[in-house]
Amino acid sequence: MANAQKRANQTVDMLPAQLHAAAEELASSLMRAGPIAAFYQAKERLEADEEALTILERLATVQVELRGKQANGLVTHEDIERLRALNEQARNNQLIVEYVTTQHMANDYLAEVNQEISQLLGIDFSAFASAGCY
Amino acid sequence: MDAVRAFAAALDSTPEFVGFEEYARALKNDEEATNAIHAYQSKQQTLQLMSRLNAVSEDDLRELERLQRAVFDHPTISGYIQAQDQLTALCQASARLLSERIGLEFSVKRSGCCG
Repeated sequence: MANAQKRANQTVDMLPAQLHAAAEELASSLMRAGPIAAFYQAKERLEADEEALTILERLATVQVELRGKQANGLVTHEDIERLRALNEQARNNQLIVEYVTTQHMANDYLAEVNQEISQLLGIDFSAFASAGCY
Repeated sequence: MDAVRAFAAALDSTPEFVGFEEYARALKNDEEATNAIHAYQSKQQTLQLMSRLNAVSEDDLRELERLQRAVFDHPTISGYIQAQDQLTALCQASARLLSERIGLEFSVKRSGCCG
């Protein structure tokens, strides 16, 4: 599988012309599909909102700090409270909630598309295409 | 979606997909090859159980190696593995292109794998 992964990196620009064109067309279609478009609209709204971005930035910083402290057993009650408060702020922020929700919906939609390809081909396409096993 | 069907049709017509299907069919119909796989898997499972009891001998390991060689040296099986590897590379390259274009991971293996 590692060999296949290496080859995939090398061959992304060497796809047969017909397959390359079909993949490009599929990508364009996907970008116009409701769930993907909704995700990008939510992403745009999120990225334009200072408050939402600040919450996410603080949350990411605290998570990194906590992971570092956790490794050395130095997590305090205050640290956990700080994380909980930030999580609460994120859950109560409409733009963040929309972003996360639409991202899930977009991923679910992509899984359905993979499923459809699998049914058409008679193989588990996502298993072949993801760097896992099949 | 028409684009999904067109993508599947384009993949279906590649030499990699055709080759994989041919080897998959050949493997299914090759009794010697499937017997070699079953013998190897059976021995492997037995040794996994025996290893819990620390009861695996050198002879057992040699036998497992012999059965493994018989599997991987078998032309139908090695051809199948090679065809599978080539199709995997093509599917991964296609998915990578799609992921790049849409800015989201196109193919994610969500369920667990490898047993």
